Amino acid sequence: MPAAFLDEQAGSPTLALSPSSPFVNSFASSDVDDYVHAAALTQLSEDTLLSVWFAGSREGAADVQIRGAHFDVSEETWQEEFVLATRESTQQGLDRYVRKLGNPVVALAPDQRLWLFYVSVSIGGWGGSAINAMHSEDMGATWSTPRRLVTSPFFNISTLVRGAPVFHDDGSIGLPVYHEFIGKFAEYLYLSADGEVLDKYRISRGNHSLQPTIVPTGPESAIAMLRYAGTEHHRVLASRTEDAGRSWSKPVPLEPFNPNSSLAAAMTHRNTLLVALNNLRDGRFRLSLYETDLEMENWEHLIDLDASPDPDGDPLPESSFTPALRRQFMASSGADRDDLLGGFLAEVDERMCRRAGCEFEYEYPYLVHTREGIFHLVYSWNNSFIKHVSFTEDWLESRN
Amino acid sequence: MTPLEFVFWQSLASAALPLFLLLPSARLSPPLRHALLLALLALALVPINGLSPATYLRSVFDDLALTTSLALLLGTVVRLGWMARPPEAQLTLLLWLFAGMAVVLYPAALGLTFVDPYRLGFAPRLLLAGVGLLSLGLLWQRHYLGCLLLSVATLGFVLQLKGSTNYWDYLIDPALATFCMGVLLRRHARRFIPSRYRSA
Repeated sequence: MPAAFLDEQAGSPTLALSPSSPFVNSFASSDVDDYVHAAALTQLSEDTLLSVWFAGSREGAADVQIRGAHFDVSEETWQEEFVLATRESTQQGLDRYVRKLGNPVVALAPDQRLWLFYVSVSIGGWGGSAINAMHSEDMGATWSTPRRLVTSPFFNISTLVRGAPVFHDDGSIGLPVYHEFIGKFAEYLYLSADGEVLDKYRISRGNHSLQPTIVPTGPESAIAMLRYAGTEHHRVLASRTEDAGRSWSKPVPLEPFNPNSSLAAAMTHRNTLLVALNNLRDGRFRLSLYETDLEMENWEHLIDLDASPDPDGDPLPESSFTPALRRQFMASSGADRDDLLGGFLAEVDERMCRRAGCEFEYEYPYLVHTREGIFHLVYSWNNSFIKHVSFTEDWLESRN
Repeated sequence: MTPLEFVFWQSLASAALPLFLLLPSARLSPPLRHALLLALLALALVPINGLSPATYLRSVFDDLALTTSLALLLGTVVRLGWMARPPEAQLTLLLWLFAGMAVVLYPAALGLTFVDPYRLGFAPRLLLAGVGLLSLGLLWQRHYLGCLLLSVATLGFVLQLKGSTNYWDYLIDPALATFCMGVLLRRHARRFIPSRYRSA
């Protein structure tokens, strides 16, 4: 009997905790010194979320760590961030040299085991990546030593994670992954409840698609949306499965543009898809939220979550960039993080400004729809903070 | 032997034995050959920045296939003079066998098509049957070396000695594939290279 997708929205929704406002945002991360990127999020309990991301002096640096922070839903506050994995801890756990760490994803399985999958590289660039798995039996208080998933016959390199894991009704885990060595293509891994690789299925082929985000739409049906890495149409790609991920249709381009950037999608309470993406041909200077039907034919723009003041995303001179950044910071940080403004602005030159000017970047969204009917979105805010946006189903209803 | 102990010994052998076979150790006297091997094994354990050379190599090349490890071990045993070199025809057949596996496996693993033969290694009934038939054929041909290599790989998979749950990872790795294809290419390229360009 093949596995079916688990309906994670099923059960008895308990809307005990309503946000103070139907649409709120704040920074999940609190370190102003580091480059932060590739956030993921999971719900630990009705009252607690856990977000993870990587942070370090720059992307690919040896000091990059996998960090996390808890969100107290009733208090609407992010707690202090903490370290989940470092290059050294990964090296020790794997008994291998580790050069750098990359994308993490986190997910709470139905058996209450908390999984953290993250990328590490021993040699070369991201094409040399492998996926490591850690799990926690106590909601993240303690973790197992990392274990490497063997997913490729080619020295086990070139497999990365980015999209949210999907759980199946037989306890197995569906992990969307992608390859970035010579070919750029997406796959769907089947892992046992203990994290052993059971099988894998190709979602796309060739050299132009990666970072699948999977949305189950029925017991055995799901949609995969993919980042487009080609040079032809620059649009989001989509593929479908009707057999719980065992076979996938040939990916086809959709209406929204995709500037070779990560995107995230989730099912709504009204049987539509909510998609967070950079709907741009080039650049990542605007991150928007769209709603589409399950045929992905009609796309409705809901809101620009963040955008550069320049409509074309052109670099700004520092004289106009800094005031705009200050305004955006105050609108995004949340009350608990607004005291970080001074320290953050002191770091701006290095991280966001080049000779041509300073640029805004909002990227790598990760979207979760909780049992309580709240959407939680985290993304990289100018590679300086992980921004968290949450909104209710009521807010969504009010948009159209 | 636990999988962890196996990984230690395999990584040690994977670092020291290729070097032993690559060095012109055949010219040394038997006692010196043994001493060289021991020295290389010891060198592979000397920590550099907290990790041994064996660990660094494992980080880059991953855990070698059991066939590769066994082939290295047998090559070392031959070099030490404990065993006679197998007949050339048998070695040639093995070169073709592993080169063939590589041609089937690796191009598709790069994502060129939707077909992925690596998948066959996860629930490997078909692959096990194929390797079983191949082993029987080798046995019938009195090719005991080939039969031993495939049997050890299969046993290693059954015991899950490596971190991989995929049968292919016990049968072949890119290092073995490169070696086999390289030797075959070098042999057969001679046919296509005009004699005036060949080295004397």
